[in-house]
Amino acid sequence: MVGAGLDIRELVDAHYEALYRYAYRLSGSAADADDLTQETFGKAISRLSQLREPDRAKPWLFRILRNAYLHRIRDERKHKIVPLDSVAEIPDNEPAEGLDVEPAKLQEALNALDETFRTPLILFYFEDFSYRDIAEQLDLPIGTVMSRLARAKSYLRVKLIPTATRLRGE
Amino acid sequence: MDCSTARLLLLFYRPGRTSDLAQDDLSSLENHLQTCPACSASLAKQASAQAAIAKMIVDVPIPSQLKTQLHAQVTAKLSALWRAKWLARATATAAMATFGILSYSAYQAVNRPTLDTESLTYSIETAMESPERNALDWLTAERLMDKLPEDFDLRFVRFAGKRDLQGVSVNALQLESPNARQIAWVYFLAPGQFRTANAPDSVSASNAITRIYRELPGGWTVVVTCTGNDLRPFLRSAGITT
Repeated sequence: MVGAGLDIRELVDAHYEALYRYAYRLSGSAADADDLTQETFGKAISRLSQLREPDRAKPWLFRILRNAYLHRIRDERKHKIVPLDSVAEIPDNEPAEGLDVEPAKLQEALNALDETFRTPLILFYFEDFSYRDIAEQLDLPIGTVMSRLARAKSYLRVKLIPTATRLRGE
Repeated sequence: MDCSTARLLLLFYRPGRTSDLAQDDLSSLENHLQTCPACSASLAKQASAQAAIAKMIVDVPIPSQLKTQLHAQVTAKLSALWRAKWLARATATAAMATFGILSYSAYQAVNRPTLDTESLTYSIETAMESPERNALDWLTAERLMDKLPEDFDLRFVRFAGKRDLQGVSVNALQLESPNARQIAWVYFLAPGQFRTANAPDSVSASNAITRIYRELPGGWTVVVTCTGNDLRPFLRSAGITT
């Protein structure tokens, strides 16, 4: 037992899968996701005493992971930025049926997004997080988060939904 | 609520997540959805798409060894932390001990008496030239004048000061007979310094004697031991003049 009476092994068991998925979607790489997950728990052990509310362990761990990821890519500038201003104007039509998208295509679409849009989008689809949770994790006003989400979701629909489907919906 | 407002709110609406929208907006939207088939259909499409995307996004295979690796990493890191914590405590303890020793050494260095050779020379000169005066001064300073059990001739005193008696430091006088063939030691024992109740008052050997004088002023005890068979060579009554 360390820190605020929490057993770090219990945190690993409870959250390692979600953290790995988050890391994978952020980085687009299984190797990076593996490293980021390990780095997250390594930092969590050292900082466990900072976790005041054990119930908030999940967002706390997600935040550590995102910071670790940002630290990695800070100087790389390898992610190209998609001009989302134009994407936001796309009509909001949804496919009636479930999507049938290649996993690689989904990751390509995420990778092409700037991190400031990609992270809230991933957190949104993880569904465990409210808009307020996402805003707290990103240190952003909730309005900014909702705005970025709206545009990122539109972008993702454009990338994933076949043109024919979108045209049928129009 | 009109449809355009409803479509805007639908962007952020997730069924079952009542905290996503403000309560007023949520109530208005849900009321509108009950009466507007178009918006209701749009919600159904949106929910279907969101569920599909969410399913894809979380559909990431987890490496089979990841959990084991993480547990091993956690164990190693915790061990390292405990070692570091233990080392820090040990280092702190050692530092405190070192600091204490150094402080005590510094204290001793500051408070160490200065050797006064002039005083030393004067003392031995006085002791040689006026042993009686020397002995009287010491007895007075130590408040032992009234504890002398015999009328010792203080001119024969060769030493006055602290002396180890069977492991205890006590005040003592050493006297030397005028012919320098006998010596006597007079030990002044403070009350409670020794257990003397079972000691005999007098012990004699072939060429030495020891006597105990009890219940002297203040509860003191004096032990006199000398070579020879009696104390007379050390007493004023011997009538020896120098």
